[in-house]
Amino acid sequence: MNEIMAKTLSFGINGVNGFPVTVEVFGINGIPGMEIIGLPDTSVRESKDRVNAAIINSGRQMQPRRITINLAPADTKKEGPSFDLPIAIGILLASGEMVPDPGIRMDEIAMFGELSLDGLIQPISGVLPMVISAKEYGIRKVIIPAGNAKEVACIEEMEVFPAQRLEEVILHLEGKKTIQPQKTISYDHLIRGFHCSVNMSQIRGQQAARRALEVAAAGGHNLMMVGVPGSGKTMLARALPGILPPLSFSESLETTRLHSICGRLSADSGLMVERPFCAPHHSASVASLIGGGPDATPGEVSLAHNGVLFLDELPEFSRASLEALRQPLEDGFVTVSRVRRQAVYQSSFMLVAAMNPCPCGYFGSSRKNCRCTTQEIRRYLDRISGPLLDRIDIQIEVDAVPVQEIRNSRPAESSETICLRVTEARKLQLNRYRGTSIHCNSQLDGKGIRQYCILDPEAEMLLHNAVETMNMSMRAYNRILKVARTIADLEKQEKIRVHHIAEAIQYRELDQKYWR
Amino acid sequence: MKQTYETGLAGEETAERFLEGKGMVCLLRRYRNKCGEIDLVMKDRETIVFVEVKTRKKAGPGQGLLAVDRKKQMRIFRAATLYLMEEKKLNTAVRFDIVEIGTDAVIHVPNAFQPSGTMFFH
Repeated sequence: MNEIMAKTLSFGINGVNGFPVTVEVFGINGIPGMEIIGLPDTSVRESKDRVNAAIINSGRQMQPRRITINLAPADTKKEGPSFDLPIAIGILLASGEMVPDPGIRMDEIAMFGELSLDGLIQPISGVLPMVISAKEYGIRKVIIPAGNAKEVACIEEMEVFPAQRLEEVILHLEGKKTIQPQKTISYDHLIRGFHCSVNMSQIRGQQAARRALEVAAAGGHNLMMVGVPGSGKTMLARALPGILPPLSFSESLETTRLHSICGRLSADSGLMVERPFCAPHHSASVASLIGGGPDATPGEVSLAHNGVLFLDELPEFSRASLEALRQPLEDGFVTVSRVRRQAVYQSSFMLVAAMNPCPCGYFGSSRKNCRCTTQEIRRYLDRISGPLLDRIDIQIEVDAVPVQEIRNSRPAESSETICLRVTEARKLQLNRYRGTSIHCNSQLDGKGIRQYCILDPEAEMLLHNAVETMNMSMRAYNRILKVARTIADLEKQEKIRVHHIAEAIQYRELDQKYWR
Repeated sequence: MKQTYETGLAGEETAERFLEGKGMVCLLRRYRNKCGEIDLVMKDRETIVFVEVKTRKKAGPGQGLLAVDRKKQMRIFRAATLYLMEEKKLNTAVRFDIVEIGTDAVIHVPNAFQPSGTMFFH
């Protein structure tokens, strides 16, 4: 055996999509050494040292040969340590240290995994998108690190072999000891055992805010809470994921995919069943919110996809960060362009913003005096631009709950009950907008509003009066209609009635009070 | 000075006998060219083995192996490359070994180092 060639199959990641990578290993006699080509980054190039040690620690010999490893296609950059496993298997095949079982075809099995020096297979990020892509490319068998097994447990029609050690993979491919394929867990089973961490029943008082939260959830409306410190804004926001309808399987796949490429999933977390709740600190940069970095990694808006993006202390965010939110809010996706690559990430989230009414926090409070001057308050509020405010349909004021109310009130309605109503309302909307690109009321445009938001005469009169007396813009008018549509949906009514409009107008009163 | 030379020579002879006992055939002793020198050039079946021999009279086991540092490795590697080119044997399997002759034990490390920098002690 003078020169031998071996090929193994793996996948790389570009954005949220995987692409097939053929690992070609060519071993030849000569001065020993190993070279990896095919645009590897440093972590791929370093893999030769990990692979060496892992092979020896798996009880196999590392023949001194001149080895060339090519990662095809040669024109795409390869990143990350996930190629360790296919490289190791390729070297063993090329040096004749391992002979695969005749029943196993190497071009039908994709494998990913980082090797540690002692031969263990370490979990990697991005397994879910790679396995999904493998399925799209017609691959039916994958070998993955055991630590990532749960992540892909819901993918059907795939034979997933979770491996702990390099040795197991070798024996499996030699046909000596088969790895047990992962059992498919149905998504319904996963989602059944799930409870949100903050339940609405834990929130005392705050009847108005609870209602606003329910309306926001039912129509997918963005929400802004203005209130004194300690009034419970953060807790209300954290309860929101629990009253949103449960993640559907495809939504869960989308969201888990994004979290997977960021390496945010822990080993025992499978597909995400909880809607994400992202609360970036107000010092967050544009790149961390929108996505960026040399490899155009997703930002918080994408991690919050299908979930809630909570911005506490909204005016403290930098102007640039806030303005950058406008495009993802509008389109539901972001395009991140960087030198090395360009990627499109989904970012359809509910924005929940919280802020104090003034720098000291107590403007308008019934129990403490505000120390701010009018100019200070003005400057503080003006940090939030009109266009951003325009995209927030529901604005409410949250006041601190009096102590007596906290002690005396009975446990309030639970998230589960509210969630049922919200889900019903969402179903109604899905049926109504079937065949269009719209999923919920918040996405209605001017034309849609005219088509779907039909008022009864009384309601129309109230709305016109309000618009005139409160001097509202056309945009505010449209938003009242959208929110009224949602309130009517919660009551399962096709026509918008006068009390729906009345409630929707309430969610606009902050416009009058603060941003006039 | 003379003593050091003799110690080294005696050590190389011991190493040669030791490796022959393992079934290798000696091709050259004290091979020297303009790039450097190689203590022993052996043949292990189809593989050409370049051996560096270190003899230690006093130091503990392993000290001799450590004396083959990166600089020394590179010198051996260059000398070996030149040898292979001259002999037109660049397409044969090649290996670099170290043999340490201690006071009471012989340590043989096959495939002890590679030009790419990886070390194999097994």
